[in-house]
Amino acid sequence: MTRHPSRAMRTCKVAGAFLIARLDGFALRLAGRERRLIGLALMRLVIGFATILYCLADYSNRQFLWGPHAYNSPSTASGQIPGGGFSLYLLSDSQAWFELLFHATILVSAAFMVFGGRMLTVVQAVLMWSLHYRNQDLLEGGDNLAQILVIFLTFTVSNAYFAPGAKKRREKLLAPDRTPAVSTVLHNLATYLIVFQTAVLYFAAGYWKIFGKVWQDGVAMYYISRETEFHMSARFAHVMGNAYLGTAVSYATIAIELAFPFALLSSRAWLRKANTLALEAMHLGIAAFMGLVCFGLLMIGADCVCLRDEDYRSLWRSLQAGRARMAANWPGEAGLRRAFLIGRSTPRMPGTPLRKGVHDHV
Amino acid sequence: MTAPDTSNDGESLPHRHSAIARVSVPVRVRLCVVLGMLPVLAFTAACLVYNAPQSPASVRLIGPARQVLEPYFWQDWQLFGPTPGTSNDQVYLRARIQYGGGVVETAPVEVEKAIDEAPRGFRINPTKLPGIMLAFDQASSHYASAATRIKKLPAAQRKAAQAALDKRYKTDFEEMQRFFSARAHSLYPGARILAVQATFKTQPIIPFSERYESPRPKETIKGLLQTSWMPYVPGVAQ
Repeated sequence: MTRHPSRAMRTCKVAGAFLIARLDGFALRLAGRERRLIGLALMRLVIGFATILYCLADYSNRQFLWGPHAYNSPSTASGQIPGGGFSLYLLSDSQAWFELLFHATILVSAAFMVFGGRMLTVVQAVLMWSLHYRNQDLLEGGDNLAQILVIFLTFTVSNAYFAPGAKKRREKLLAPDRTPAVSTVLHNLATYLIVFQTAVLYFAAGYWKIFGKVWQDGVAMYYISRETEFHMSARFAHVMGNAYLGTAVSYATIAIELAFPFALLSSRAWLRKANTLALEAMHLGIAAFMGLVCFGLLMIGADCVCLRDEDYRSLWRSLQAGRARMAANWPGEAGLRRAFLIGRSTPRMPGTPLRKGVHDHV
Repeated sequence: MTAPDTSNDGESLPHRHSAIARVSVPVRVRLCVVLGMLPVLAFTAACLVYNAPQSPASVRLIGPARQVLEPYFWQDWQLFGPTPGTSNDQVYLRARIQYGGGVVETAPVEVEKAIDEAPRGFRINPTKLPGIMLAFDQASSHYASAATRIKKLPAAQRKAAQAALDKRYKTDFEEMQRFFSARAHSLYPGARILAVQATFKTQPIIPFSERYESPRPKETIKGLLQTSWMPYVPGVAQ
């Protein structure tokens, strides 16, 4: 080393330049532009809507469940909150304070759903956490995920789609001459964490299921459909009593959950889309047949972020093409009517949130 | 300025890397990337450890992982990978009521079924009331198992262990006391209720292999836990 100081310095310089270049490459990928804007906007809509549903589902029981004279008294609820946790509901035993907070939660959730934005996300997070910690008996699991994801959501741009002014916001965000920004880095890191957390959840869920005796035997759906808490339909319970169907649903659940992280990492878009859509279908089924509507919605919201913007655009194009094909194959007046409708919808496509617009060519 | 290739929302193409690298990156962005990656990596590692099955490695690492994740990123996904219950729970409620000059005890009334079936009343946005019963059933089941284990301990240790167990489940039983007081009030309106008692029972679901048997097999109901008489709490919202 001492005999060749110039060579060592040159090596150091080259290595330094190489590292800086790699860091810059990585930084540019993170700071270049905001990713998964459509999925995040969908998640915002779903979290807002699910919170409204959560409040309205037991609106007439609100005093009994969350009020100052609830069965779960404020002192009991305080004892159940983990260290560092909080609930604004426990700041006062006043009836007016409870009513104010409860109705504010509904209003803020509606505003968050419609407008989005960082400020509203923070307020939504605080009110949602407060409501959840006021009575933890009512939580279904999806709430736990929403509590975590809403924290990450505060660092993202969740109103670039499906919100007033979204088009302008999008054009600004995706302008070709935009310089790398700190906010973009935070957005992309937070988005990564949302996707990562969701993937970990599914993998863990699939992993635990695969070691469960009833899941191995393919009879899990039979027992779930007969639990009185989740028994919403006698027909569903009857169908899950079928040996073939029950086994297929049980095994398919494990397969799509375990495959999810790998599908997300896959470069094959069809695999990613198929797996995510299968999970969303599963959660729709849980909402409909097990009565866990808020849970199902929140999970669908989390799944939405797992698809890339391009995946949504290609899904939208496939849907449009399918409709066009159907119209073409539909003879007679109905076909004309359909063709007219699609003909009308095609020029309007650029105006829709999922249009193939300027941002595709940035 | 050249913008990164974003025709694919995912990864940029390798041949564009050199072009990307030529774009100047502001120092604050570089700094933000480096500083931002630290908590992200910490969360990633902690989350993996936190959710990993128990192993000699995860047991050693769980402490630091907890420090990163708790309380705000606390997570429990066991609900997503359940071993579904193979039985249905029932809760029988009794009340001590002052009647005339004396005290009478009511016959046990099963209260869980009506609550469990409540979501069917409005399927579009079902009530979450069954969650309360699930929480009570779980608490009573865990308490009963722990109490059974305590009974097997040497006599000298039993008292302290029982006291510790009661302390652990104090808030659960306070909740039950208030809940069953409100339920008794709605069952016996106008009565002067003095105390309530809940009995938790469980009935196995007909096993899959016997689902088509005729006559239908009768699954026997087993007692799980009977609470002591808990003083009635007036004023709980209905």
